[in-house]
Amino acid sequence: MTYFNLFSNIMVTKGASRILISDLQRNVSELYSLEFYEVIEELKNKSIESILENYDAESRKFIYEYIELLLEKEYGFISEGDWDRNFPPISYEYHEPNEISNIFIEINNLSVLETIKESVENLGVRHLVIYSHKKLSLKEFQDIELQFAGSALNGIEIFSPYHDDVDENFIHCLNQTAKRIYGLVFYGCAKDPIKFRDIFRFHVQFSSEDLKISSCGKVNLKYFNTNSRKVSEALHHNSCLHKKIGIDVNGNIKNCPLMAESFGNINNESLEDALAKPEFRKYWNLTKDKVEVCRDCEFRYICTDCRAFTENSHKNSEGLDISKPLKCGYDPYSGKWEAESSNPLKQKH
Amino acid sequence: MMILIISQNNEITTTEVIKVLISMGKKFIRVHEDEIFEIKVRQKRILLQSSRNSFFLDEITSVWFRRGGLTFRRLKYNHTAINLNMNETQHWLEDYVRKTLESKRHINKESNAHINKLLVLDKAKELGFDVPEYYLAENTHDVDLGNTIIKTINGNVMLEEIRKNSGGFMYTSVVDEHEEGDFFITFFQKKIEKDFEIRTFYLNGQCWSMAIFSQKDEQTQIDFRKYNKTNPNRNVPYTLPYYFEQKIRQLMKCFDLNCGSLDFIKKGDQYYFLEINPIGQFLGMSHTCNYSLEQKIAEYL
Amino acid sequence: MKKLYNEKNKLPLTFKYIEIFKTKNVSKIHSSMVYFVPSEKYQTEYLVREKPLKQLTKLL
Repeated sequence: MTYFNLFSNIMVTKGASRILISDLQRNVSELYSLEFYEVIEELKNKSIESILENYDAESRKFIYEYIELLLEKEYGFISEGDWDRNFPPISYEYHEPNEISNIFIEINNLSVLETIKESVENLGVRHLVIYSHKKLSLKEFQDIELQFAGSALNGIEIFSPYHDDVDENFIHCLNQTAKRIYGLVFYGCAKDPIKFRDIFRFHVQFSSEDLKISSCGKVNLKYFNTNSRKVSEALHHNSCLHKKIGIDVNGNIKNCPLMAESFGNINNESLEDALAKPEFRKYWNLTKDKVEVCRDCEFRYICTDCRAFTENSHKNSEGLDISKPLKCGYDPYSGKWEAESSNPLKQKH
Repeated sequence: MMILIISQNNEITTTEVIKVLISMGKKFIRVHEDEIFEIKVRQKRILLQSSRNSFFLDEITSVWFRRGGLTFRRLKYNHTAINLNMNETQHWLEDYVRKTLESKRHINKESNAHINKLLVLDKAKELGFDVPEYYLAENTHDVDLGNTIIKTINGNVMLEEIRKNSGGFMYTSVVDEHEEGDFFITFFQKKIEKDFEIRTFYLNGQCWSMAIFSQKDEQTQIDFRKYNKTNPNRNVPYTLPYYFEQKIRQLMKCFDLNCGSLDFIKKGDQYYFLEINPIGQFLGMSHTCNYSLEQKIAEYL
Repeated sequence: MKKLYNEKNKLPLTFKYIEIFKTKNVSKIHSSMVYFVPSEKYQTEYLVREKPLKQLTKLL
């Protein structure tokens, strides 16, 4: 008797119409039919021979093919006599020693960064995403870098408006002094000033869109990430808001700059104080499993949630908004993505 | 409480453990490989001082030795006899400091950070581990070609600047052809057709293991350290049988090691012991298997 | 092998199977390279500059 052992870092997420198989070691996710799910479940409970017994010759072919596929992709292995009990399941607990993992801040001028610098260091913030309304000069980019020199920050991403000074030379100069900056996005750019070449320390992008901060919250394939850290966070916590602080253009400290509720202002309170308010973390453990529609979606653990823009249709007993994100065009019940513009409701934002 | 971490500036593992220590509110001192300490005395207490750090010997409650080492400034004297005498005096003071630190609660020690592979194999055999047959030889006369591998006798497989602008790795390799003439004593071992390899991280009696399936990938078949970045080996958590972990405890105790990585091969129902690495990499395994070993280390210190 | 390396004395057979890798800066810079930054809090000059493992914002 032979048995199929699924490797513990292969995660199968069942959606209403399909399943997603995520290889959390090689960081790849693929879609399969619900039928495949049934086969995988059977393989967990019965020997391969006893499964085949129950199918006719025609169907047996398909079972073989499924097993071949699983072996070819190295999703599992075959053992004799019994499943190999020495392979335990992986614990998908999320470990993050630092209090805050990222801050998303909306700024009009750089002085604000000086105000929060110390808190950023105390909280062990790993990433800082800056959305600037104002055009930034070369010196201002360098100042941002300098502000956080020697800090515990792992990386900085900056969204800022495009302006004529931003040419190939500008980017090359910035490349000389950039240390923590890993990404630059220049929005409102009619024509890319430089051809794309991945030759800088950071990723640089030019977007013709006149990005507003309210442009955030999009849900689509390009924002899906398959890796065990992201997935373990999504399994236990809110995949966007957990350990995040948002600061809006007026200095209000929120879960996200686009959410309404404020927990203080940086001009008279520290980030630590705002964080200490019990209400601050109320969304942190709202997983996709608790969100309407998302709970039936096969992408729920590789997707990043949005609580700022939702369909505002459901609240749970604690008053938390558990509606599906507004900017998600995927319907897990039909397995189809709708074109974003077709839904009139979604045009509001 | 004060934890002394003896490490290197570029040790990422140390930084990860430090993040956990900070979150636990545990105080620590991080020593880099290039720090030179002076031994001083203040109010009858021994003080160790470098350009970066300053601490009293008696305030240290635990020590984590993670590569690098403690270096002391040795004063030199003009008069030969005086120099000899002062050399000895300084030696004993340094020895006192080192041994006192090693007697405290610790993870690894500078004095046994490197062990003799040959002695380890002999001891493992003695304790009843299955060890693939090994021997030393100066020529390939008795070598079963294609079924034998060679390994370095020392722990370090890397050579810097072996050629101009190039370094070299001496990975475990299969001996597939005869070599004319004699060579320097080389370590030979029977090649086992493995099902998979196992890497175990050991800390204070506990084991965490990971199975490494590298057979399908020719690049990593013999030595999984030749990482294949585009299609990595399948690495998954593994649990060794209890009796086997007991034997591991015995072996580690024989070499006075309370922490280290061990490598095994699984073939059919048998586990074959390969080697111990007292200060090996474990971050990769910690992340892949979600064992949070950085946390375990921080908790122990 | 001792000839290969211009050595007077014999070398172990392991030197025959050395794998050479270039250390001179293959000098290609790109955004996915591993970079290090200094950090006072963690007392190192080798804090890994990392891109986040998940999307932190979804603006584009």
